[in-house]
Parts: sequence; C-alpha cells; structure tokens
Amino acid sequence: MDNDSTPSFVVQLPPPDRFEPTTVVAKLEPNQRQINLLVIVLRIQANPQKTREGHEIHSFKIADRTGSIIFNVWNTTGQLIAIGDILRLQNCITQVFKNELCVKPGRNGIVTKVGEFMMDFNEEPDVSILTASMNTELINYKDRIHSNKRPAQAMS
Amino acid sequence: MATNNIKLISPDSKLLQYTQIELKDPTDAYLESCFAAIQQNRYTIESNTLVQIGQTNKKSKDHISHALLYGILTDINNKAKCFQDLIALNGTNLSSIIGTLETLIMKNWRRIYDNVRQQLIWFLRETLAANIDGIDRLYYVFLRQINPHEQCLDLCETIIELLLIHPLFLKTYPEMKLLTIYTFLSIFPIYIRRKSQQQQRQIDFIINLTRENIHCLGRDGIRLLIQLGHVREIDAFLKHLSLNTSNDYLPKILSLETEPKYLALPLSFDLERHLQFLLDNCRINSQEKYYFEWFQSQYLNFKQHPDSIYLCSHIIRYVCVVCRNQLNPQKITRWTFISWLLTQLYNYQQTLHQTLISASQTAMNAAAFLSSSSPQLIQINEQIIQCRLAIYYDWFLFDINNLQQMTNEFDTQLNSTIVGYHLLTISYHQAKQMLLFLLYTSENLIVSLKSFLQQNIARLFMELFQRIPILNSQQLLQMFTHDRDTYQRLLITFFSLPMSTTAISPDNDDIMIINDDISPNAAMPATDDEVPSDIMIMSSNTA
Repeated sequence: MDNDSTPSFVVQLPPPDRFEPTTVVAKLEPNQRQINLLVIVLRIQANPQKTREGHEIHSFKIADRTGSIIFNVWNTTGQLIAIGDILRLQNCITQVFKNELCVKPGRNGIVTKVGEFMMDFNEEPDVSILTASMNTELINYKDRIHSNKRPAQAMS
Repeated sequence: MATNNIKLISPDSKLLQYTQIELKDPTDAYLESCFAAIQQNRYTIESNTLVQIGQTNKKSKDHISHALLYGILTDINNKAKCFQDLIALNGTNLSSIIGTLETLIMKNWRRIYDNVRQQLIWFLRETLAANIDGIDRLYYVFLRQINPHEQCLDLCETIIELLLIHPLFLKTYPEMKLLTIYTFLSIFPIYIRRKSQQQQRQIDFIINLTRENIHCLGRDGIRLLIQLGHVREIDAFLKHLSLNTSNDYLPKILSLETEPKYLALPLSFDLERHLQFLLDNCRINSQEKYYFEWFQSQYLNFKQHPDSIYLCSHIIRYVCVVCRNQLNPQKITRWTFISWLLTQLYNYQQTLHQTLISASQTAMNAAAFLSSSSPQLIQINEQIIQCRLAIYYDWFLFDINNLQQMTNEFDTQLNSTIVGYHLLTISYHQAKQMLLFLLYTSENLIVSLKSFLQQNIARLFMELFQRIPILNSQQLLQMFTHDRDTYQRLLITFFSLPMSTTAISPDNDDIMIINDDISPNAAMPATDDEVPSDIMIMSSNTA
C-alpha cells in the first residue's frame, strides 16, 4: 500500500538491455576468449559440414566496421541465421581451424539476432587469413602446449 | 572441437513469434510485465479494482492501461471488459495506448500471431465506433500494411468494410481519406484479381472517393489511374476527366506535385527504412553487391513472389521524388540503384520468356500454350512501362516557370528529373529505350496535351544540358543515325527549341516498330462504337 492508503500497483519492468561489444573484428587473434562482438552476416562461407558425431557446422562470413572473419556455429543456431542478419555474439572464442582464423561461440556462448540489414561494415581486411607473424606465433604456441604435456607422460 | 553448449529457447510470448535466437521485443516485454503485475498484486481482470486504482493513482494509470491493452489482445473472453475499463480509465484520450500499438505494429507486423492481429482489428473497430482521439494514427499504421509487398488483402476488405460502416471517420479525418484512396489505388492491380463477393461494392466505394478527391492527390493520382485503365469504371472516369471537365482541370491536377507521404504509402515501413539506409550508406563496389542482394532477396524475389513486380514502380517513384542525392562520391547514386532494379526486371522478363519458349516447344499445341501463358509476360511488360513512367513522369510535367534559381540539390523538380537524365548515361541500350519511351509516351499519354508535354521535355533537356553538361543532344541523337525517321522525330520534338507548332502524328506501323515491349492494348485504335480516350491506357486487361 502507498502512504496515502491507495492500493498500489507494482510492476516489475523488464531489465534494460545492456550490451557492449568488448572488441572489434580487426583486433581478433588466435586463442582469445570471452569475446563480445556486434556483426552482420555477409554470406554463407561454405555448405554445412557434418561431423562424425552428427553435428552440423555452419560457416558464415561476418563483418563489422573494422573487417571480416569466418564464424562457425553448430546445428540449430546455424540453421536460424540468414545472410543480412545483425548478430550479437557473447562469450565467443577465436580458433584456427583449417588454417583460417575463425570465431565461434564458447562453452556459454550466446548468439542473438538483433536486427537486419542496417549496419555499416567493411569486408577488408579479412582477418581469417593468417599473417606470417600470426602463423609463427601459432606454431610457437602449439610447441609450448606440447612441451608442457611431455613431462607428465614420461612420469607415467 | 569443444561441444557447442548454446542454450536455444525462444522467448515466451503471446503476442509475437520469435525464433530461438531472437530477443524479446521491448514493447512486448513491457506489456507482458504490466499484465503479469495484475496477478502479482493479487487483482483480477474481472474486478473493478484496477480502474479505481488507476483513477486515484496517476503513476499506476499508464501501467494498468497497458495491462488492459494486453488483456484485449490476448484474452478473447475478457476483451470487452478490458476495453470498457480502458475507456472508463482514460476517456477518449488513449494517446499513450495508441503510441504503444503504433510501435508494436510498425516493428512487428509480420510476426504478430494471427489471433492477435484479429484482436488488433477488433480494437480498431471499437475505437472507431467510440470516436477515440488520435484514432487516425492507429488507422494509418494499419493502412501502411496494405502494400504490394505485405499485400494483406484480407485487411483491405476489413478496412473498406469498416469505412463503409463508419463513414464519419473519413469526414473527420480528410487526410486519412486521401491516404486511403492512394493506398487502394496502389494495391488495386493485385486486389482486383482476387474476385471476392464483396469486391465490386468495395471497388465502387474507392472509385467514388477517388472521383471526389482526385484533385487533392496531385499528378501521381492520375498516374495510378492510368495503370488501372483496364478497369471499366476507371476507364470511364479517365474519359470523363479528359473529355468532359473544363480545359484546365486535368492540367491543374497534373501541375500539383504529389506529396512524399503519399509516395511512401505503397512501401512497407521496413522497406522504406531499408531503402533509405541503402541509399544513404551503401558504398560503391565494397558494399553494393551485398546490400543489393539482400534487398532483392527480401523485397524483389520475383520468382518466389511474382506480385513483387508491382512494387518496382512505387520504389522508383519514391527514390526519384523523396530521396536526395548523396554528396559523398563514394556512396551509390539513386540512378545506379534504379538501373540495377530495372536490370533485375529485364532479367526476369527474359527468364520468363525463355521458360515459356522452352515449355511451348514441348507442348502439344505451342501457340495455344504461349497465348495462355502470356498474361504473366504481359504483366511484367506492363510493369516495366510503369517503371519508366515513374522515372520520367515529372519530365512530362516540368514547369520552367516554377524553377527556382538554386542548386540542383534543393530544387524539388530537378531532384526527381535528374535521375532520369543520369540514367541516359549508364548504358547505350537503356538510353535508347528511354528516349523511345519519352517520344512515344509524349505523343500518346494525353493526346490533347501532346504539345504541352513535349515542350516541357524539350525545355527540361535544355535546362539539364546547361546545368549538368555530361550529355548533349548530339550524343543522344547519334544512337538513331541508322533510323532517320526516329532521328528526325526526336530532333524536332525534343532538341530544336523553339518548338514548331506542327507535330508529327505517327501511324500505327511506326508505333509497332519503336515499341516492341509495350502491351498490345496501349496503342489500340478507337472503334466506331466507343468514345476514344484522351488518356493512354497503359495496362492491358489481365483478367
């Protein structure tokens, strides 16, 4: 009840929608985590591929104002995405797959469609194409991972 | 590769359909939270407590009103009670509710559930009957759903029936009357093919409104009527306009430029927004192919939605008259977009033609097959002509006396005409087609005004050659050096001011040669038992 004894009518309004991209496509590098992006889907990059477990991997080219990259997403989410969709990607990770840098939803990743068509973008630079320095870093990174594993195997 | 653990749940809603990756619409979420508050605060819809609270507590009034609106849209059993309470709470001032509904409908019409749409129409009906303030705003958003893209032909019938039951509405809101006329004239080429029982009564209603108000719509009203010339009643009206009214009645209507708000009517809200965005932002080469492809897949998918060909002339007219040139040379121009649109139409026409030819080769009776399948081809041919008319319509009616001494960007007459001028520079074949179109149409559009129309075009050419010297008359005439007769006619008609008073009247053979893509009925000679129409009928009977 209010102070003036009029019965109250309390409404629990929906929380405001807050989203801020944490980075842009041009700044993406291999093995990054907790990436939030706002992008537009340019085209279907490849036909959906089936994994041995029966999952379908859908591959799209996405872009924002700073560049473009490949986006891989599985199953139903991939089926629901259409070219021209503006997507909000939350908790995504980057990965090198088939020698191309790509972004994909992480363990708790969320893909949300927030609009269509009305977003500025640049297709260049294509960040999926790994530069020579990135390739070197990647090889060094893999070597470090393998060398960390070897002592454990020797002990067992 | 890590397992994909994305949780996919569609937002729960009684108003709108969502896919699993979409966010809940804010208006939907707000309405739902207001309605949920009824139960949370331990009230019920059936009691009168809500009205009492709203009347005494202004802070809650808006929330309760929206809760009642949600009840109207989702609870069929209690809709009447909710509406009664809404009126009791607000009287005839439902501006906040109408504003909410405007937003909901403008952004979400396509994904509103069918039962909710029925409730929205019921709400419109009740508010019309109750003479609510601001009901024209709600009526307008419904009207905008009637267009060649969304179609909503059931809504056409509903709206007309509503207007027949409540004739006072259009008298109270004369602007809505004109918007209604323009909307229905735009949709008639599709609507009249439907052939429902009530249709004749509905067509008569719109035509009666048109007769009384055509002078307020301006020149594009006449353009839409010309497109519907194959309808008996409209044909009679056009004849009446040209032959029986005073000499300056038709020129006066044609001199009145149609306001942009009418030209936007045949475009849905989404289409208008996307079109504006495309023309304001699309960069040449880097973005063109993407935006154009998306635009086509969304609105101009002729193969899946053949009726979308009727949208093209309205899009072109909007782009020519309402949109402005970009000062940024990196952005696409209006004529680039229109040239692309025309190319899509031509490609579709060719595809259709090829399909019919190959089908006729396997048909037992090829001739019969072609003639029975040709209505589709006639329709696409008609629409190509309508598109050209949409581009060059203002050329026929260019008034040099009204031309302000300002730059091109600011003069509304030149704003629409320079699009057609630049189109003459894009491709040789297109320029030739357009010049022939200008020549033929100026001779036959409105016979009694032939000299007037031709002089306007000649003056406009002169003006454009001076202001934008990218073309001259010699360049244009050179395209017809192999055809001396057409060369002479163009030279005399458009490129040799001051104009000679004698005009060449082409005989029927000439018309057949220079206009091989015009619908057969366009040059139909008058028969003895028929009053000849002064205004060229640009469509054929496709019934």
